[in-house]
Amino acid sequence: MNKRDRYGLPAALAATDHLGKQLAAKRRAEAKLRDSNFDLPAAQISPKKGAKVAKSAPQVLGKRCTAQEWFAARGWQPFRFQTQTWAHIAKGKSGLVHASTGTGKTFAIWLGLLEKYRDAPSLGCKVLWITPMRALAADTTKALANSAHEMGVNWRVESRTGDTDAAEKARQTKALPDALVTTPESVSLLLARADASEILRSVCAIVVDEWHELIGNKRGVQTQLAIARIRQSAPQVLIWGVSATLGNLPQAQAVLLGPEKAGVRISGKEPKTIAIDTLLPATMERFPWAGHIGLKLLPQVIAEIESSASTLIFTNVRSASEIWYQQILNARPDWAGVIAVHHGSLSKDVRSYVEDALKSGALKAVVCTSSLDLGVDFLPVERVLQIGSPKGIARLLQRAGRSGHAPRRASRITIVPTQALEIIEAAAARTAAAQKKIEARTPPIAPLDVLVQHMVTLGTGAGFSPDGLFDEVRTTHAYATLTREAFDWCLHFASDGGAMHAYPDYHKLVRNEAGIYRVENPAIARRHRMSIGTIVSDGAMDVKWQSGGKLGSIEESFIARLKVGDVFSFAGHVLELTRVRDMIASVKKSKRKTGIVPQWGGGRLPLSTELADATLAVLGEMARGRDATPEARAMRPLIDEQIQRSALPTPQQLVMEAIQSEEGAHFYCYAFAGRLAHIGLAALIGWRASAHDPATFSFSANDYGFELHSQSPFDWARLISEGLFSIENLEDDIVSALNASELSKRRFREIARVAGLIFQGFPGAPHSTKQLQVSSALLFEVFNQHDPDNQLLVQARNEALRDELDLTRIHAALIRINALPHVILRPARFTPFSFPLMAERLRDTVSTESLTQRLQKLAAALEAGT
Amino acid sequence: MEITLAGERVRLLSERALYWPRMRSLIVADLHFGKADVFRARGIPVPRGSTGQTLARLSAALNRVQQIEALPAAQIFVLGDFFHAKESMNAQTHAALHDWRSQWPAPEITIIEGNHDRHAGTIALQADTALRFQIVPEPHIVAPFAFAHHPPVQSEASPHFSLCGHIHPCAMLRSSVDRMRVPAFVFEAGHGILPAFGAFTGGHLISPRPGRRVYACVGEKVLQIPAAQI
Repeated sequence: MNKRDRYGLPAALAATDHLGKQLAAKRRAEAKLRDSNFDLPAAQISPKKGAKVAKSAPQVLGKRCTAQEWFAARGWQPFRFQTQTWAHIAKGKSGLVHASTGTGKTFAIWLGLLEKYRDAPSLGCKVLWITPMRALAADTTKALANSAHEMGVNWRVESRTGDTDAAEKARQTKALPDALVTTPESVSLLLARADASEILRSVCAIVVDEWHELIGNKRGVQTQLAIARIRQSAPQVLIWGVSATLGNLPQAQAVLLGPEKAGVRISGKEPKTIAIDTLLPATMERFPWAGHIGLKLLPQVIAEIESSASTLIFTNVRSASEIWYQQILNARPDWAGVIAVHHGSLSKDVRSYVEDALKSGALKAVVCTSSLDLGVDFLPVERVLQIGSPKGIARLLQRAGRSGHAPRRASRITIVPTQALEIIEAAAARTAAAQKKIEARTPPIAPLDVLVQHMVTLGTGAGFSPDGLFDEVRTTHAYATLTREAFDWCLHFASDGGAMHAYPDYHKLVRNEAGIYRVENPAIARRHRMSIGTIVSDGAMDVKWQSGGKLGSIEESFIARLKVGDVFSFAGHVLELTRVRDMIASVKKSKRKTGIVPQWGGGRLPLSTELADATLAVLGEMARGRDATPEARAMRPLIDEQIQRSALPTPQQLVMEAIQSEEGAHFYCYAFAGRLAHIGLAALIGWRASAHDPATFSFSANDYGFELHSQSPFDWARLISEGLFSIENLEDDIVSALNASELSKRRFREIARVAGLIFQGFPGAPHSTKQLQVSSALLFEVFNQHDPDNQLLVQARNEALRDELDLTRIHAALIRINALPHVILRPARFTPFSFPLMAERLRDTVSTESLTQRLQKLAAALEAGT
Repeated sequence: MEITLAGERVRLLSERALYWPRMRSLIVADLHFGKADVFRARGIPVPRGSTGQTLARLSAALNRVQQIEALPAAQIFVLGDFFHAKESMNAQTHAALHDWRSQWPAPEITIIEGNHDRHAGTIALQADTALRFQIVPEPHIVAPFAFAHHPPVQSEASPHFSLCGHIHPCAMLRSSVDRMRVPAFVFEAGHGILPAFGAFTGGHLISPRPGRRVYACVGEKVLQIPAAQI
């Protein structure tokens, strides 16, 4: 009897007689109580007299009722923000609901929409529910469908994502359900249909779930464009967003609703208490000053896992999750099968297996990366550990929210420091969280690659007129300031290359007599539909069992250095390479216990401004001798060491150090601007100090500061007085200093994919698509040589400056540096702050030289070595 | 850089070509002419220019030979994938090839058919009397070498040393602070693989190991890559 129909409801629901309905309702209510409750706060799940619910609920639920009655039938009291939202929806307002996870935001919006539109006469889709994560769509659909039926609203609620099978999609295409749970990509695919405006005319409301996950990226821009498009067919449509707390909520609301649209912002329930603490080493004497892995605390971490029913162990990078998993398993072989690893380079199958096992309680611990940041509601655990710096407050709180879903239990996250200075960050994060200093997420401005894609998407459907589309996209936040010139450039790039001679025989969008742009070639249209979206995969090599089945993907350069028979660790297995062919690495299980661990490029987040400032503030307190927290007390000996050898960086004082070693001269500057900004600062300062010869220095950067290393010492005091830290010519100087083209090339990967230059192929690609295979690095070179004014190259450069180098923070850091009193100390030995940077340089540096210089140096290194 | 293959002295040129002085033969692989044209024809805007760049590189290789050997190359062997696909064989590409041929009328040119050529129909060029290209199937034997497009299957025992393309080998240059991908020659027992010659071609990373030598094209030089330390 557990068979469920396609709505995820018990099959018995289909019974038409009264008894059948009663039975179905009872079964639903029971199932509901059995399931972990979706997005409901503890207070609502456990009413004062819990037993009453099960008895009273089935008698009312399933008949037509209001949201209030639905709550009452369950013996629950709606929160104020929920009734507020219902009232605003009833009045036809749009808005944004923000609250911490697990407080009932979904019901605030959904039940309001059901009340307002339950009697809407129109056939067709009434509610578009956009969620950023495919894996969440199924659970959301189930929760929405259940509550709709319990309120007596006989709506079809279905999901449509990349995972939906073709038959289901075809059925939906004939008649969309009343409420469609979907992703930004699938919404764009609807826009690519010729009848898009007809089928979307009936939409009464668009809800964007987890808007905080979309606002800062191109998927959010894609969502903004889709909403603007749907508004053309359904001008009265309500827009509602659901967001976690962000530092820029008014902006988040404006971006979602569009600049012209006023709306309401509703604060949800105050977050439950969140405890942030640190797994402190027993003694600081042996605790390392540098490092990223932190295995020193392995025994304590194992003890924590042991004493909890379920634990999530977050790491900051994928390689760290592999290493920790391997080490835990080596220490506790009896945990084989009950602990798992989860990160973004593992195949979808492996990840869903782990997610399901975690949900069903089959796993004791999962070592993971940000891959498990999303979907907070469907995977609650008892204990959450964070290996290494949390990097930001919002992220830390979100991860903490994974624990404490049980009634009357606070959320708690414990930071496991990987090096001594990180201990201070937990204390800093606690203060910042208490003061609600949450990071903002900045929405992208006018990314042309997304616009090019959008034009072709619309052209694949009914087409568009340029004037109309220009006005339409200008109603979005992202393109509000777009010039007609930039719009026309995109139009040419998406149609015929324009008047430029660089693109003979190229026609994508074609203009007809009526001035409408459409894609006429069906093969181009088909390829475009396959490529819609802004999520870019790694372009890495697939790792598969030789017996079949994909494990995930690893960077090609790692595999290229292995030979058949070599052993490496991946996806929690120790694997032996058996064959490499056609970008597939075949593997089998190895008998060995450990193997080398792959490194994945990119992805290291900088410490947020909020957390960096809070960390400095804690140091400021400690400089005055106030050790208010366990972390501060543990750090005291190290801080005294720093003060004794040099000086302590504080909010009131910029500390620089010049140290002479056998290796040469080292200069350190602790600007507390985050790793990315420090890379840019180091390059800039090196370039200015050496009179424009960046090769004089090698440098390294971490979240606290940067190092410049040279053969001979420099007179830093004089250079500073002559304007070393000046903000004049900042951008030009940085571009010259860093040879920004390498960084641009990296950004171009995403841009080329989004703008439709890279076709990733159909599943089981026929041979013909292989002729369109090309790497973004190669395209980057070709564009630079043969169409250097291409606006996508400009976009790549701007994105590199903003996202790869954090230009805004460099600017802010320089202003701060210039305003602060500074000291340059000359310690005889490395200090607690300089040592990690010195160690970092040995593994991670960034080249500042031109291509020719780099080639010469690499050749010289090669010739010297052979 | 000079090396010996199957008892023959050959020269590896940084223009991604191999020169065989005894037979005065320049050997190149994987030109992929008109690749950007294919992209454009299928609705992907890739700017023109790479065909001209590839032809300029071919001229540079011939000039280099003349300069080093004091004798011009008499023969060019193309180890397959001369054209990228059907749409590559358009008027502009033909015009560019004719222009180039009129500048370099002397060398005999033999194209060994590659997989792309079979789909593109490169064989049709044979009829173009102005170009004077000879198009032959693989392997094309000029002892002790067998010119081919595809590398030999391991089980194949052959009396000839096979020179081939298809793979587009690249090597990773590394120093303690930097790394970069560059085109490379790869030599193993019984065969060698040339880097892709075309300007609009990607690459496949190959690392040296026992029984496999890798020579990278680094700017104006060709350098042997030492076995990687993992």
